[in-house]
Amino acid sequence: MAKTYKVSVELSTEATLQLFRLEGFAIALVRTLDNTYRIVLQEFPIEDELDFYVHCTGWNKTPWNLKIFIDDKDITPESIHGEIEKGYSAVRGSINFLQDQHAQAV
Amino acid sequence: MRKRYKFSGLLVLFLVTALSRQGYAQNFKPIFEDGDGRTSIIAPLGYLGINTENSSIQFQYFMSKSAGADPDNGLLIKRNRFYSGVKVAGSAEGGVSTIFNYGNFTPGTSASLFLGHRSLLFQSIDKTGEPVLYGSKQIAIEDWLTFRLGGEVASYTLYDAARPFDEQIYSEQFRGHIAQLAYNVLISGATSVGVSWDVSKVNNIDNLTPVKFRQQTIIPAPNGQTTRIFEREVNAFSGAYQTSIVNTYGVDAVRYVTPASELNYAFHVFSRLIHAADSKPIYETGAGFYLFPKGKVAGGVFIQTSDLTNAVSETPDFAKRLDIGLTVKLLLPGLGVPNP
Repeated sequence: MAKTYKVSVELSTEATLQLFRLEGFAIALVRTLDNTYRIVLQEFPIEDELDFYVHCTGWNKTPWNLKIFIDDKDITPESIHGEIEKGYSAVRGSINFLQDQHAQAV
Repeated sequence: MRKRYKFSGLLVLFLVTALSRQGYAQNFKPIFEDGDGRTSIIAPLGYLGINTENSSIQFQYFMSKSAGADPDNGLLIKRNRFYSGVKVAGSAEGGVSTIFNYGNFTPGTSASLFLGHRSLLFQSIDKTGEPVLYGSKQIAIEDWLTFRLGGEVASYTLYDAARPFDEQIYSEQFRGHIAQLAYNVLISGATSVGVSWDVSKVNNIDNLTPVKFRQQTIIPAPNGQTTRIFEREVNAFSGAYQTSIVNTYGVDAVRYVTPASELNYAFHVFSRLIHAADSKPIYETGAGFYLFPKGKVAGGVFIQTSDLTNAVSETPDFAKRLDIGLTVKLLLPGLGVPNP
């Protein structure tokens, strides 16, 4: 059984966020006043790596920036970012945060 | 007058502070409007902006939600395509600094509520969550249908030389309203076209002549040896003040150019047909050019003629019927929302 964590997500963009997935689950995010989508998930199950997917639409060259915190630790010291091209940006990726934690512990 | 300057100073300080916040200074979204603040291209995002042509400050926030899991079928998604928003704008005939007066909004404040539906004709994602792309170039197309309901309150000081002396200076309260339906589409992130129709109650304050004079009140003392002279400056509008219900049909088109360099720019052309019940239709048209340098203040200049065919104006010279305006937009800075 996958271990659970507290996961915080911040996605800053002026573009329209169409879909955000974590570990394959579609997670509805609401835009806040400063054009950032935020959510905190308690006891979110993660298998080894954290898979994410971002799909935004909007004006070209509009950037998006994704920050993820696991148990209040920033696992994206170099933020994950993308830019709209041809009206959209769809990016899939994964973060090996356990290895990072281990590497830092060593 | 001192209060006015004080507010002006505070405003500049606030804007400078807002702009100097690094990390939020990203690209500016093109938000395109004419001198009356009208646009068919309603961009659903938050911003704070100033339009110098009608001396207004605007604040806008849109609530939108990305797709979530379909509660009935875990393999599908629920697209959450409805959005809502609010926009508050203050405008002043005497300049931006007079929008707020002793804590009250004056002389012109408007507020609008928005309700909209995105991806009405062109889907952005399918029900499994995959992006929907169009044509051989595999581009994205996004569209919005927005309904806007707004109200406006304004107070004007008017001057009419034809009235009895005591009644020549008087004030008029204006309560306007607007209902607008706008549809716009964004093709490949670069070309946007919008059409809109609205019905609104408007006034003709822009066509009245601003007048400025000093009024003296002289009060002699009972002993007849001293005279007190009170003096105040009066800013008023001269002419026949009228209100009317007008239908406005608008078309906006924007081409956003993003070369390899850091400097992006956009062209905007717009046209309006304004039809009041008891007068000839008025055609309005204009064009704007906007620059979007990365991480810096962005803005643009626009030129418009309020009466293309000279249907109602008394100015036969076309060049004199042209208005030039500046627009500066900035993103809302962080509003103290803590990191989770």
